[in-house]
Amino acid sequence: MSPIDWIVLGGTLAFIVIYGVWKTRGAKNIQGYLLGDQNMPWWTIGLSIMATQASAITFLSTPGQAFDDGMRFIQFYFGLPIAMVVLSITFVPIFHRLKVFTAYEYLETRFDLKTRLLGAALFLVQRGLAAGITIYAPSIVLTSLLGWNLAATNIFIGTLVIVYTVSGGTKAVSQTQKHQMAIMFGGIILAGIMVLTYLPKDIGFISALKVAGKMDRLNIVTFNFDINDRYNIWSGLLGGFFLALSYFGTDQSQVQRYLTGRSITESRLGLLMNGMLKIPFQFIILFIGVLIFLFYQFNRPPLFFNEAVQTKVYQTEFSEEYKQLDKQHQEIFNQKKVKIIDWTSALEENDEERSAAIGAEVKALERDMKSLEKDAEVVIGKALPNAETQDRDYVFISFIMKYMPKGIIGLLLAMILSAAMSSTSSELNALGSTTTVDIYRRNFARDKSDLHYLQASRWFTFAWGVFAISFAAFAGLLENLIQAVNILGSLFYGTILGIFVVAFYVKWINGTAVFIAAIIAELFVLYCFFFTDIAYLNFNLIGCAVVVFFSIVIQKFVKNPIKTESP
Amino acid sequence: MNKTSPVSDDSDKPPLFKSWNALYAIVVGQLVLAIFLFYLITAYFS
Repeated sequence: MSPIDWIVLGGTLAFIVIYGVWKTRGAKNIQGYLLGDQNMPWWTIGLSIMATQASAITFLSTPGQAFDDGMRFIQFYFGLPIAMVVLSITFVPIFHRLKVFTAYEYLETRFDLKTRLLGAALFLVQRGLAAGITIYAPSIVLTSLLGWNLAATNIFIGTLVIVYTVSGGTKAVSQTQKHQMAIMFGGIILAGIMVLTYLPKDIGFISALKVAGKMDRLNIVTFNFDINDRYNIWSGLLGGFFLALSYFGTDQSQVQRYLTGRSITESRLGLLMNGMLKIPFQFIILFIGVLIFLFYQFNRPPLFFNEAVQTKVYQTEFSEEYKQLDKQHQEIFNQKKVKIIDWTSALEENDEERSAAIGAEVKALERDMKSLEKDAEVVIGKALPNAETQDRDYVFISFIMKYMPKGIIGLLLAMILSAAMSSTSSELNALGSTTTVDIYRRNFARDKSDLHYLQASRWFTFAWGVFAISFAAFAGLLENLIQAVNILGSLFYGTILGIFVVAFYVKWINGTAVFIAAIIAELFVLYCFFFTDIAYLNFNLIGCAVVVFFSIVIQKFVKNPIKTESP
Repeated sequence: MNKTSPVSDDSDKPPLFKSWNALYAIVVGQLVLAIFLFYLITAYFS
């Protein structure tokens, strides 16, 4: 990295953190620290919600996902706008009316203490681990490519977040997220424009896109119904809806964002803003992956995108074997490039017969290249047994480092680290709040002073930050990074959502029934994860349905009086 | 650990629209439009 990149990167991050700390210094009470005095306007809430969901993983993994598998991943977000509407109608007014600090407080009002603690515990386990992955994900990718120290990078990102989150609480999180989202929006649009300019000038853009489409990279909507298929319109609408409902309705890291609204209207508008902008935002990121795919049809891609690992393989006894694969890869690429140019001209001339014939040849060559890439992964596995043999998460960052001009590299790295910090700060903020309100204050320290709870919140936030950094040091790659976070969420969200659905909509069920049903549901979801091939998005629906079903069945046998206080 | 109450305006209308239902319809309508456009892109380029 050049000095100018370091200046842009360091200056951007320093400005965000210092301004955030200065602007929100001196939180004097727990209300201000946890809920930002509830005076946030809708657009700040909307940006904060988007910044919380957009982690570094979003920027590192998503373009690689489109590069490798096409744009069908966007269907994952189809249920989100509908979930925003449902939340605006039901959850927001109830949370505001009951004046809760956390979503789980409501569960005691509606059910009992043990159900509240179960909801809080499921959140703390899931989100605590996810916070570690949120820090680890950019660290492992950046350190691998840039040669930085992994532990130092984890500590650097974690410490920056801890500084402003512990200092200013929710206000600092929202304040910094506004600037972080500006960097993210600006960075991703700039990256898209830059990649576009790198495409060959003598090839028509529409023809190039047709090549991408015929190679299944513009498969944005797929209608095949298959419960084991992760991304199609049905799993996106149904599974995506339940995941979004769980995440935005019951995960404190998101609930806390819209609880800061100065009114129900502001909170609703913030959620709906997210509902309208999220899909276009993801479309742009995925489309950049398609543009990079096109770029590498005319410029040779590396045999393995994590080139630092390649360099290490060349220093082992497997060097010759790897070199041979690389040579074959180069030869097939050269043949394919000639065919691709022919293909685009056939497409421009609307010569369908010729286009179909060349297309078949290109796809055969593409399969040969993929086969060599798989062989390379096997050689890497033999040469470096501890190395990660998945390279999808390195596609975008490797492109940035190799082809982007000086200064832009620093800005795009600032974008990735801003995303890491924005999601981590919301997570730590929520973990600290839940530990203080639902665990500490409720069970161990009732009727203490406001200052006492303020200090406790700061200490718990700090402790979760240290835990996240520690977990990041031991986290490993599970498939690709964005899926790891989503799978982890899906294991717990369905159960939590089921508890809230029963709370809101099945008012004759009491705490004991829903508590037992939630335990059964969680065990069933874990069974599905470990022993079946059901796509993880469906766990949200399954967990929720099992909680509702068993709550109703168990309630028939439970004689506890039903609490009368309900929304 | 006291909380002040947020402004309770559950019955308020959203800005620019006559009712919340109209705004919800815009959000869902935008989703339907996006899916339709995505379908056209998928079909055209495949």
